[in-house]
Amino acid sequence: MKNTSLFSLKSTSLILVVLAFITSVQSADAQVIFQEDKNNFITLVEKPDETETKDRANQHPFALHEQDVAAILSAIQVVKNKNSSTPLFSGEQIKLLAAHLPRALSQASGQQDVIFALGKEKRYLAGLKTQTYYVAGSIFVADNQLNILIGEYDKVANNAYEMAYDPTSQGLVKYDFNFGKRERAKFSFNRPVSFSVSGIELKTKNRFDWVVAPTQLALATTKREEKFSPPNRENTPTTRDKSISATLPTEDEVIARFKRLDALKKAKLISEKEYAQKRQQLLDEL
Amino acid sequence: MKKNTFTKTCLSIAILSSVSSHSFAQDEPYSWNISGWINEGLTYYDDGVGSDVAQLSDNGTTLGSRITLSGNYKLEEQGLDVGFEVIIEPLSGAPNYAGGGHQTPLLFANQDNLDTFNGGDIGLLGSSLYFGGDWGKVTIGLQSLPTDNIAVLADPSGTIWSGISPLFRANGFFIRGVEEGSTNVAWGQFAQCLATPGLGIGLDCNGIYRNGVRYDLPQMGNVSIAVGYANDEIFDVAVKYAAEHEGFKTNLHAGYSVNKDGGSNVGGNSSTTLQMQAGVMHIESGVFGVATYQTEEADDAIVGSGDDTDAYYFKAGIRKQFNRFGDSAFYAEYASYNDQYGMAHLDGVTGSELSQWGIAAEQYFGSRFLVYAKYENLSLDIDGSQAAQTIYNSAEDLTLIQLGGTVFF
Repeated sequence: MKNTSLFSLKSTSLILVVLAFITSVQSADAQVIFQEDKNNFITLVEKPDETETKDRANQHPFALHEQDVAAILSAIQVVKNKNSSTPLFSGEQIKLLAAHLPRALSQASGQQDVIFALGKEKRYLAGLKTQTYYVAGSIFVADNQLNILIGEYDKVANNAYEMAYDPTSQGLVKYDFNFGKRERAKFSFNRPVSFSVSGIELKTKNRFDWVVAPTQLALATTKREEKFSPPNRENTPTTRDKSISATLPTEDEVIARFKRLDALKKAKLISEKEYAQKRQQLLDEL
Repeated sequence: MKKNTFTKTCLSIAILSSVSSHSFAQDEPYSWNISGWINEGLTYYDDGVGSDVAQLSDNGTTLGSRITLSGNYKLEEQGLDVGFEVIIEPLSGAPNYAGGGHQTPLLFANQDNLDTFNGGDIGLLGSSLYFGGDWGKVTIGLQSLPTDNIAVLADPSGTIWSGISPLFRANGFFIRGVEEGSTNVAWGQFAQCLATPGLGIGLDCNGIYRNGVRYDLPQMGNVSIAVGYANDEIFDVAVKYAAEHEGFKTNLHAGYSVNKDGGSNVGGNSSTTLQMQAGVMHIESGVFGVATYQTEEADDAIVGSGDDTDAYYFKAGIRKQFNRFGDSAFYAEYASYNDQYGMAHLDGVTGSELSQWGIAAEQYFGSRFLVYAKYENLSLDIDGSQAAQTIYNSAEDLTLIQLGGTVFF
């Protein structure tokens, strides 16, 4: 019995030494932008080594406004059935991404992506059952577009698994999230999505895990709004007409602005008062 | 009368529906939860004398079916989190072993290769409250102490519902094959822990819920440390390290416990248990490996019985998503439980090695459901008197083929 034990002891020691060596190697850790716990974070990581984009750097660093991020993210809906859809991101998730994504993109290099995993809680059974769901993915700017790769949607946190691995609930359990891939992942997010703001679209038809939004359009819209508001009643008719005719928004853009305003309100990024003021302003411009 | 009852029922349903559809998550400082899992399996066994099908629904207290009620309240002004946890287990029958202290309900409960009835019952596994803050967390009550599962849960693959280091499956089966009869000794007799009377699981020897107090220090980077004190005079300390480096997920666990109240299975006054487990998994490929070691020592053990034991467990495999349902896992495992023969010294045994090896396949369906199939073999080799060798070295191996599933809720 002891001979076997001795052999096993040596084997175990060897394995432990190897493991200790592996753990002692300093890794190129992800650059944390936001972290609440092991499963709620926004970080910068090296762009995956994928054939399609191997030699193409992202357009980072990139300046993006918080409002634009909120508007774009609020506009992405997951289609449940013919008659209903649900937002891809919850209000709280939009708030977090809108607050941290601009900073992440401004700090990112051309070889980095922003990855995120964020949870939301729902309660059932008269509040007796709590369930956490995660959304995860990658975000980067390329080809003058904000690219959003959806890796996970409504990934269910396994409370029972957490209980077994972390009996005193210290948040020790870390889930393996899928952050999406430029080369189509084998088992990628494939639920239909729709957009409540024009200009946002799928990167490739029928590939629902890759959404692109034109950042230039978003920024241009903001600039135009600045030009238009408030309408200068003191201008002479000739001057005012010239100004308007030079930058008159299309019908689609007008609708988009209203939808965007609604999205900002839903995400609780603007107050009721601000919403009413801005809405009136948009109506005045018609 | 019927109309009134019907109206009340409708009203109750309406109220409950409206309450249950309301989201409490973002605006309340308290939370409640009901969660757990049901783990059921069917086992075909062949012990050299006979073969049959037996139910093996449990996998020890670590992973046997359980229902947990828990609650948490944030006292923001005081900077405290307080909460509770009550865990109940569906039992499959009365434990067929004797021992002092808190009996682990599920162990051996429905493991039987004799023609006996396996009944059913419900038992309390744990009941505790906790309070914590930036300074750490204190848990009081019947609970899992720091070194419980310390040599079980460093497995980064999560394939623990079908295979873990303790000898949970079939430890209640009797060793047979001696003159085509039973030895009246179960396989678990050769996986006896010194620290815990009657606990024939070989590894995770401080692995039962005990009445005590536990203090978890605030997490320090990738390291977490906990200390505990439990009935009767059991002290333990556990250290966990978990990190990801260079595409590898790495877990290292170590635990040391001292049982000073004569809990030794062989009659000693005290015993010590040292446990270590290391696990590593390559995240991209899903290839993983786990190594586990445990050693126990007892003071003043009964003459003739072993006073130091050791045990090893190795596991290697792959867990990766190969189909749309979810992850699939394939692994092989090997365990060796040495000199854990305990009271078998009365038969003249002076040394023993119980070996277990197995191969398994798991298929996950999202994170709610998994099914597994497993082949396992148990064999025994002993040193000792001629009489002892006649009995045990002629015992047949035990072969198990299991099909099981676990539902999480």
